[in-house]
This record gives sequence, structure tokens and C-alpha cells, in this order.
Amino acid sequence: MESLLRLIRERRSIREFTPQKVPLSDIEELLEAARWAPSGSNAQPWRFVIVTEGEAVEALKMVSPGLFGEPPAIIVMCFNGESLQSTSELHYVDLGAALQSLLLTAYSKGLDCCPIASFDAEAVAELLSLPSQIHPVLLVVLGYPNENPHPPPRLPLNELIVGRF
Amino acid sequence: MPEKVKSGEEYLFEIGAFLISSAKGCLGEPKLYGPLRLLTAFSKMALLPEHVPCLKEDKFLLDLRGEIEEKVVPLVVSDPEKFKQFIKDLSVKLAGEIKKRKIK
Repeated sequence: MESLLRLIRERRSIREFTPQKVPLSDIEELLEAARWAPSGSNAQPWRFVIVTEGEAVEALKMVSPGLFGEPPAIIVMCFNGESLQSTSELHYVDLGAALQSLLLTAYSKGLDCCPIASFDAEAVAELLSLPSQIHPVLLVVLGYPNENPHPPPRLPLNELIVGRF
Repeated sequence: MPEKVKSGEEYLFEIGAFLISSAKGCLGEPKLYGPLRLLTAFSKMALLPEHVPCLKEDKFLLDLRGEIEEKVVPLVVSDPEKFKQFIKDLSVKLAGEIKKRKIK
């Protein structure tokens, strides 16, 4: 438990990576962790696109103002529109759970990531020729870290607990 | 993956794509992302001489770029007030440089 909390506390969002390529088997291991995340009604709304080819990474960068640096790999986290239900906004929570599993598994393997929401989702769907029911939600850049940022401040726990009964 | 040297045409296209994508993003993103995108666009523009041989490097612009690259992303994430102050300080530096270049 202590080691899980340590991973959670130490993981940072990394935007600068070494040029070292990430083995496909490692990327698949991260997605294996993500697919075991909980989801409302077990909808499992997540879908993934793995992007490691240099020209494809460059193309995604062109339509992603929030994507800095030269990531060796990008995982495009998507919703599958066919699995969305009437409470579809709650599926963002599902995707968040899958994302955290992915991020922590990556960090435990010496990899680092940064989830990026500042990108043109329609353009990414077009570039990757995604079927119409697959909607890109996040780009997760992935690689071996080339920076060691300080943790941004966190609110103290006593400000976050707004009630005790 | 080291960035290959892009031709002037490729780089111009990249800047154009960045600006259009940023314009779309600014429709719905937090207000401070607008200045962030403009500063990133400035950073890209400052590198134009690397890709367009007839342009000369501008040391002042490159120094500003260095500061921007180092500071803006951490500041916009962790300290919006310092981010705003950083932009104000940049504009003062710029005014000083304009004065040096234009007002003898």
C-alpha cells in the first residue's frame, strides 16, 4: 500500500523525453492495466490508438497546441460512442480511472506520460481515419523522462474534506 | 527522437497548423491558454531562421524564446499570477528592445 501511495505521489506529468523508443509490449502492458479500470454499468467505453511512427507523431503535433516536445509514443484515448449510455458524461469518470491506471503502470516501469486535452479532436480523428463512433478524448504522450519537474502544489487535505458527520 | 531539420515550407505549414488548431482550442479552453498559445507561436516564429536560410538569427528573439520555453508551461500550470507577471515583464523587455532599435 505504501509503495502504491509513493508511486501516486512521485508521478509527474512529463513533457520532455529522451529519444529512446518505447517497446510496443510495454505500451500494451499499460493498456492492459487501463482496461481493468472500473466503468459505470461495465460499459468499458475506452478505446485506444497507439502512435509511434515518427511522421504520424509529427502530424498529431500539428493539430495539438498542447503537445510540446518530441514524444516517442502517443496513446490516443478515445470513447467508443456505441458503448455510451444515457449518463454519458459519467463515462469521463471511467476514462479518468483508466487513465490513472495507465499513468501509474507507466511510472512503475520507468516510463512517464502527460495527458493532453488541448488538441483538435476532429482533426485527430481525420488524421487517424477513425470510424465515426470513435471519439478522441485525450492524447497521452509517453516516453523516458528527460526532465524532473517539481510537484505542483496540492491543496491540504483539510481544505478538501468539506464535511465530516 | 531528434527533430529533423524542416524546410521553410514545411515549417511554415507547421506554424499555420498550430495557429489554426490554437484558434479552435481557444473557443473552449481556459482564458489563460490564449496567451500561452501566442507565446508558443512566438517561440516557433523565433526559430524561422533555422528553416529559412535568407533570414538572420535574432539573438534578442532567441533569448526571449529560451525564457518562454523554460518558464511558461510550469507557470501556467502551477502559478497563473506569476504567469501573468511573466508576460508583463516580457512586454517591458520588448519595449526596451524596441527603444534600442528604433529610438536613437
